[in-house]
Amino acid sequence: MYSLRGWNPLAEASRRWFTLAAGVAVLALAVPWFQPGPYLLYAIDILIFILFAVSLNLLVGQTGMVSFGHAAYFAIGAYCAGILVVTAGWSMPWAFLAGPPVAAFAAFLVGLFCVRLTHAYFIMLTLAFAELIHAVVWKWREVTGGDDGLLGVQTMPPFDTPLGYYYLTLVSVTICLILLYSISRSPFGRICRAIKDNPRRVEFMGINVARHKLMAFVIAGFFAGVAGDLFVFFNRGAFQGIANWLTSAQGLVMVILGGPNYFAGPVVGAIVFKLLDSAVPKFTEYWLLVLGLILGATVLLMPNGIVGFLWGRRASRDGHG
Amino acid sequence: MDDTVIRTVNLCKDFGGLRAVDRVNLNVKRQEFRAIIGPNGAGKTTLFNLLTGYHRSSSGEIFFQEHNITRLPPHRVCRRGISRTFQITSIFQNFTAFENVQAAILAYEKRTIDLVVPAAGLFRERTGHLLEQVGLEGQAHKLASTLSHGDQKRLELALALAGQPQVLLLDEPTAGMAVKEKPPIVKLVSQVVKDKGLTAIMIEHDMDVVFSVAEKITVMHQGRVIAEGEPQAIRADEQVQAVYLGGEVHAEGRSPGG
Repeated sequence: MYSLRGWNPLAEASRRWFTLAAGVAVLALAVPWFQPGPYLLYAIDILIFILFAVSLNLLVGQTGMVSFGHAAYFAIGAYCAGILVVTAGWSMPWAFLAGPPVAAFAAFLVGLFCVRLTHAYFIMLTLAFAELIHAVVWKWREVTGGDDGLLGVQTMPPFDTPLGYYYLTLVSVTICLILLYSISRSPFGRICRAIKDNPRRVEFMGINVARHKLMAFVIAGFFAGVAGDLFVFFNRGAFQGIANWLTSAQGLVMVILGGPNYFAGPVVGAIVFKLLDSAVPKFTEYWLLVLGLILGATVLLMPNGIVGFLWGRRASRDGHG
Repeated sequence: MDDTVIRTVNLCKDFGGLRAVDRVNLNVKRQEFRAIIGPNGAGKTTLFNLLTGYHRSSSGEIFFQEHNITRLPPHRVCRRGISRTFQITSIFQNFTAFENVQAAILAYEKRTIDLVVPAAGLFRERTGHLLEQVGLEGQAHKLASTLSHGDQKRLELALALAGQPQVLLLDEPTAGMAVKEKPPIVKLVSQVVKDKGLTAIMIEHDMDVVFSVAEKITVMHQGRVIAEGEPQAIRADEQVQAVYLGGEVHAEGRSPGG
């Protein structure tokens, strides 16, 4: 046979990934030792938004579906778990498990209407549904607490300390990222990227494109629900702001900043965004202006995001020997 | 009728006030190589879009092996065994040639809701074999967008073949190619069709290509079929010459049916 046999990019790629992942894991496990206290809380927050951004990128970067309403599923996961604890008196583990499936179901219902649309129409309709869900969260005071927020979401030992909750978050997010990574490499993920590239051809390969997109939408909603879940127990409550379009937009910013064409893109994007988000306001009150400049510069100078920029440079350096 | 693979009955398609396909009755037999010719705007591609479910017919019926497929969406038509290529090459530009074909095989094998197993390791043998069949074994790991025009056409053919079709619809397989590039592609197409025992319907403007492969020719003009028959008969048909062929066919002396 010809050269196909010896070619195994998978082994090559996974070796590189394994090294990287092991490094990150050691670092993540060690965070509490050299940075206890408030930084641990930052780390938890960052981890939650890493998961949120990566789940969004399953749609944006992989399937070419630019959802402007991803906050809805984050909020549904958060509020569902929170309400079950506060109102129904469930204990944390059960409420925690209930959040993501409910978020996925909501994504299924919304997706039924959205997945056949493309481009601006898809963006607008996902936004419209998300704002609808936001309005429900905001106005249905008896259930969600409305403006006052949903308060008193109790956790349980050992997760009621920052350290305990950090490890819960770290383990949950890591498991979810591994699952999402495997999805991105799976036949399902391959077809997602094929749909992004050329949906018509996928249709003519015998695939029901709308159904495939719906499935991606539901999976992304599920993992956003996990992130919301982690968020509500971390904050011991939920606030209507997490459901609004700004949260959706933040997710998109993280994806674009890091690089939508790379699995690690939104991970890096979320970290950079969150670090800027906490650092910049200390120096200036014009945080949004700074963010705008950074985003503009990123899009112009690094069209493939931070990861694309670094990866691309490395690739060309390798190319020169 | 038992030998008929594709049959249309009074097939029509209106776009607003324009009738793009007008009462077309097509009858294609098993393992036949049919060419559809006609000037631009004759409704050839629209006919393909109807046959593959991409457009919904305004009236009339389509039968595939005597099953009515008139209202099926494209992915169901494809599953029945009808594959197509497009006039403007339709492949996955951001995939390598190998990944392109692999994706098409995954689709055919209904492995696409698999969320766990890495796709890269699946059906490698078959993917390689199919690439070999269309002569792309040396280009397997090039990005599809970097392939030459001719190789992209080959790749698209491989994508169509991955679905193990019974009928192959080819929309101008040599469109946009230099004269020199055409014969190898034409040879490949006719070879594959013959080897796999496929039924082929081809839209083509290049008369050299048409007369070298077609066993039967359908001529369309303004949405209608104005002539149909063996290549010699079409060549001799005065109406066809008037609307389309002009004098060029007489001057050209290649034997048909090759």
